[in-house]
Amino acid sequence: MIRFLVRRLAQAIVVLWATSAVVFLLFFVGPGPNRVARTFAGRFGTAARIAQIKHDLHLDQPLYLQYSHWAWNVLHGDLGYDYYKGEPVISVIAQAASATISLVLGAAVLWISYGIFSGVVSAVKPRSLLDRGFTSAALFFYSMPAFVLGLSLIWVFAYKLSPVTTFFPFHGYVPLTASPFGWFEHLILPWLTLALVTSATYTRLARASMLDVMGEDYVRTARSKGMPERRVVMVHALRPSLTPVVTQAGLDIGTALGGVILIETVFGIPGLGWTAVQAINQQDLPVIVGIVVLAAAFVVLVNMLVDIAYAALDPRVRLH
Amino acid sequence: MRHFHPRAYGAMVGAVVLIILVAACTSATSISGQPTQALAPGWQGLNPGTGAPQYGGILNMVGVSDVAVMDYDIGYYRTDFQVLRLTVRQLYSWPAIPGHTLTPAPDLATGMPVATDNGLKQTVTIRSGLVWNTSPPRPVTAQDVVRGIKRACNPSPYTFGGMADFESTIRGLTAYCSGYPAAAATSAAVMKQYIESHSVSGIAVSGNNITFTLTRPAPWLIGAMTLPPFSAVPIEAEDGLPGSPQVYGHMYSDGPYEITSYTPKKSITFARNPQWKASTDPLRKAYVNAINVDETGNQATIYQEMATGSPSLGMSFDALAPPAAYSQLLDMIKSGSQLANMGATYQSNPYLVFSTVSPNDGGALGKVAVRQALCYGVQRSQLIKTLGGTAVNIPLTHVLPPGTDGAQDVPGGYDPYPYNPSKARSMLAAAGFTASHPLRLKLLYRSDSQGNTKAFTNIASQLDALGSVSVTGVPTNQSDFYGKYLLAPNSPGNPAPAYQGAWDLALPAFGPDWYGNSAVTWFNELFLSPGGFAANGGVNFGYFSSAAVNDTISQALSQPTEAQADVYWAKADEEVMQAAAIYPITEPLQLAEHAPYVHNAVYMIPFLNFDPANVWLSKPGS
Amino acid sequence: MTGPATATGTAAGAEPAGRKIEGRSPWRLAYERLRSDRSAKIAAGTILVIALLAICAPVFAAITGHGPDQQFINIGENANGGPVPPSGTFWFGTDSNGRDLFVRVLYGARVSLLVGVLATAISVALGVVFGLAAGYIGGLVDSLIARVIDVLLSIPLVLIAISVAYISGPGIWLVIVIVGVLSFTYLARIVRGQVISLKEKEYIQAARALGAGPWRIMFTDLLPNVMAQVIVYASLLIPLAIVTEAALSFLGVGVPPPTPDWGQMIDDASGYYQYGYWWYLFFPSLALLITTLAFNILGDSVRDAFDPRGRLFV
Repeated sequence: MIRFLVRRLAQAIVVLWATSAVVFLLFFVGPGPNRVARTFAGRFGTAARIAQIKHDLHLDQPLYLQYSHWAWNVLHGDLGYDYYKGEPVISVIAQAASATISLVLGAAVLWISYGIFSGVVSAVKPRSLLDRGFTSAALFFYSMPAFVLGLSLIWVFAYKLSPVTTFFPFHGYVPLTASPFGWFEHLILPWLTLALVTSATYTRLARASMLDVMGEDYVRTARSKGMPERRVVMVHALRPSLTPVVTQAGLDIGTALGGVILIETVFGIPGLGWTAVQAINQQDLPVIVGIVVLAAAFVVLVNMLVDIAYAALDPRVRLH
Repeated sequence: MRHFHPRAYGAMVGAVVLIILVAACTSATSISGQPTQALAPGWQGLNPGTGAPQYGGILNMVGVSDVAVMDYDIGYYRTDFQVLRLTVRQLYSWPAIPGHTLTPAPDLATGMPVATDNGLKQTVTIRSGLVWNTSPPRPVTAQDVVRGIKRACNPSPYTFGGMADFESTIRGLTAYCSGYPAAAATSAAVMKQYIESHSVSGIAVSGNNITFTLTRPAPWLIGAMTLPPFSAVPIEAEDGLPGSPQVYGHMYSDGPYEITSYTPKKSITFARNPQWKASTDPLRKAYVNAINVDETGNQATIYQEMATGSPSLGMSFDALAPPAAYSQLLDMIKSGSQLANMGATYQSNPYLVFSTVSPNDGGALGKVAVRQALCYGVQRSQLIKTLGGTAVNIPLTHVLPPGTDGAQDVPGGYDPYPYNPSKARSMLAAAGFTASHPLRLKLLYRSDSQGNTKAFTNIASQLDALGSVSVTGVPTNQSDFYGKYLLAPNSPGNPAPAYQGAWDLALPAFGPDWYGNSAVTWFNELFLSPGGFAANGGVNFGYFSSAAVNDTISQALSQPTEAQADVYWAKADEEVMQAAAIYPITEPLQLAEHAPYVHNAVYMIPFLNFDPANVWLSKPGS
Repeated sequence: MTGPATATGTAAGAEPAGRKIEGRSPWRLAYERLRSDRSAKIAAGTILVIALLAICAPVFAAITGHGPDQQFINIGENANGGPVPPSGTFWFGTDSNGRDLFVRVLYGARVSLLVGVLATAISVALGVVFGLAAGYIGGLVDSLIARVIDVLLSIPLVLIAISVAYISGPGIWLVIVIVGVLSFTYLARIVRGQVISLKEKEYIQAARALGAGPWRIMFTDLLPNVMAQVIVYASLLIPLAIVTEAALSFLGVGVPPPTPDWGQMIDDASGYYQYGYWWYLFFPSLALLITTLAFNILGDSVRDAFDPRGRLFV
């Protein structure tokens, strides 16, 4: 197990390094030093300022030195300085991260529980109306773009229901520390949108996994011993069938950043995705790079944790 | 696995269709009924309410973007003006009295400027008893105002964009502004040293009096004195470079509100300024206790939410009514609603500007004939219709909109480029552009604005229809449109995007810095060369350069009376049109809306919004 | 389903008496299952119709007399420049610029189908090549490819797409390449897993003993056996690519205007629908929904056809 851990960790480090190199190449080298400096300078692109920026960012030095400066800073938690806002990128990201975490975790609770529930029901009563209903719903939401769903939900709940109740706000975000009720209120529709769009795969996954487990011998044995069906499902079949669901959830949470961009834009939640889009609009490179590096690191971390958890559960995995 | 029953599939799609159709058919929200109000600009959604105005409550505003710069004396866009309205006072400003909102009234000043010496001197007296909310509190002095003027033309990237309006009119100001040491551009200490130790020869302070010595009589100067450079600026502003976090991290205030927090691009919160006394402020009633601005909204949902009377949205911060909402808002006005407003803007928005220095296609746009050909190839009436129709647009066939001094001297019905596609084609052919060798143009536009996108789509379509032109769009957002493309300075070794051919045509907007007697701001900013170039603080984006126009402008400025100046302004207008520097399109009538519980909503043209310093709420926001 | 699975339909069912019993390859079995699956036929039929409509879009443009980029300011816009509702002249109404929405939706199908199919083709090509190499050659090559895949998986696709679009300008090929390159990883993993389990089979060992080189083995012997899974995943990647393209257009970095594109139409329409202009949002959304739904159902059916018990892959 230790050997597996060490190997896995080494792999993660290699991947992180490679990712950072790709990101660096993409943003700092791709456009060329002149363009990068000019981009940072923006509307204040006097020759003096551009030269100053080039110097500050070491753009006049050879590539490998630039990369080492940047990588060294990143390892020390210094993701650069946001010229537009005048604060370190780390603090920009920290403020945005709590909103995204609230959004993703809350939605994850919803989609995992719905996915498991609908998957189990579908597996237990295959080809019934419920099964067909859940499967149809899964396909429907899986095929619908997140932004269409988000806008429709705002339309129905915030606008159409407004004469009845103003519980559903149109947009915005309230931090948990400022007002738990406001936090909850503003996140309901975004949670619903993200959960509906993501849950589809979970319904199918849970269903298939459940069917698989229910076909196993030990389940058949339990049934033939006269155990009531409900006990068979809940006690014997449910837990083992959850493993792939949980694995997938872990992976999805890790890669959630890409998906939340649309939701955050539609609902005006100033999380990492929204911040990244704003940064791209302003060509605020330090923030873009910071968020991409962070997202990548997070995915690598989660993947590693999931693999380790899997290995702890199933020794066969370690050999691979 | 199971097989998905086709009936379920069909039923599901059918259900979806039904749901959407039901929702859609109940979605029409136009108010039917006999029109009871004539649609005229100036229709105010004042919403006076019943009873006396109430003090208190929190005004929640939602916007799509931020101020251009959070600072005292260098803001130049309507969002900046709105924030200054609440916190920083100028010598003169705009009264929130319907029908009088465009006549400058004394704010820091005690009365109108006193002109002496044949109009070559103007003296303004500052009120006493005004206090900064510094700790300890400190009186606002005449020197603070002079500091505002001096700091406004600093050499750092954050400098006032309208200096061209008045810089050459105040004696010694041009010399002062060009006398900044180069190091001041990057060092706050050097800048502070220069500002505090050097003075402008034509500005003299004695007690509470400021006396401006002018290079020429300027009865229009009071209009300029409503601009941010004529604000009182505390010395703390020089602790950092203009527009820097050291400055906007802690803004001081002499107005009714102070900024309690500011997160760029996210939010601004205002609370009452304890040092402000209502008796010293004739222009602002400041009924509400606090104002929260949330800058993370989007245009469509803001107007959706406003209609519901939600407490979290009283007014839009900077989002204008989207064209999609026009029909609904016009219906509201026709039925007499007090919640919608239609106001004149005195703007040329959008107008089509040509980059005369673009190297594309062999510098084609540098030739007058090519620009004129393009003007003949656009049918303005089509543009007007797609931009909302004649209900909300006044077509502009030349530079000055009606109501601007000088416009009345342009011959009635003056339209130098009536739509003539065959003439356009032949002129283009004469310049060497045909269907097989088309003129390729890049049209820069703001893709985050519904109206600007529609204008682009229509112009591109019309020009493409000529056959010998091919238009490609360059979409960008509002702040990049000006910041990255049009205002980026041009210097040797670092050419501006216009010189690099990054754009050939663009669709900016222009509003005068004051109203009525404002022709000087139109021509100095838009067409003066080199004074109007971006690097010199103007908005002559296309680098239009004409000695004749420059000459006419200085003649206009040297006329002794407004009436005589107007004749020259009209002449400049015609000269600019003959040279096809721009193709004007329309003066939009701005539609605006506010929540039902917002009262005394006076529409102010400089903000294109209701005045937050004078609204009161009948249902306090939460 | 408990107990031994019986596929609906007559795939493995009764044979007329006296007929020679022939062995059926997995491909044949799958095909027969697919053929008797009604939902698969409906889905395939829908896709065919959509493709036909897309190809014949110019025909409809000619019939209605409205080109996809033609602005009808006078008859296609109301008095305030807004869209006009569906009528005899404009079957789906017009968009915010007075253009025929029906014609534009048809032309938009071209973009969506093109992006969907091409991006998936790129994904398949990359996934198969990398998966085969990683699985069969193994060792260092495998590790290297696995790391490359990890790197690609960890970079947020949408962010990169937006950033690249910002640097080099948006365009349809950018979308295709980005969606294709960043989606092949899943397929590569599947192929690799499959190859690893097939690698030790007798017929592969026999081929090796006969002196066949690794490339020959990979592409002649292994590839046909992984194609089943590849087809299943490819059919599911297509709708994913289509929705991703729509999302990128919504964010403003997809196909640039005035090219008709469903995502871009939906983006514009999202500012109009609340004022009563419902058709502008409805028709492109419906088109997008039906297309992705059809591909998804077809993909599900293909998967069912190859693996009715849901044991091989989820």
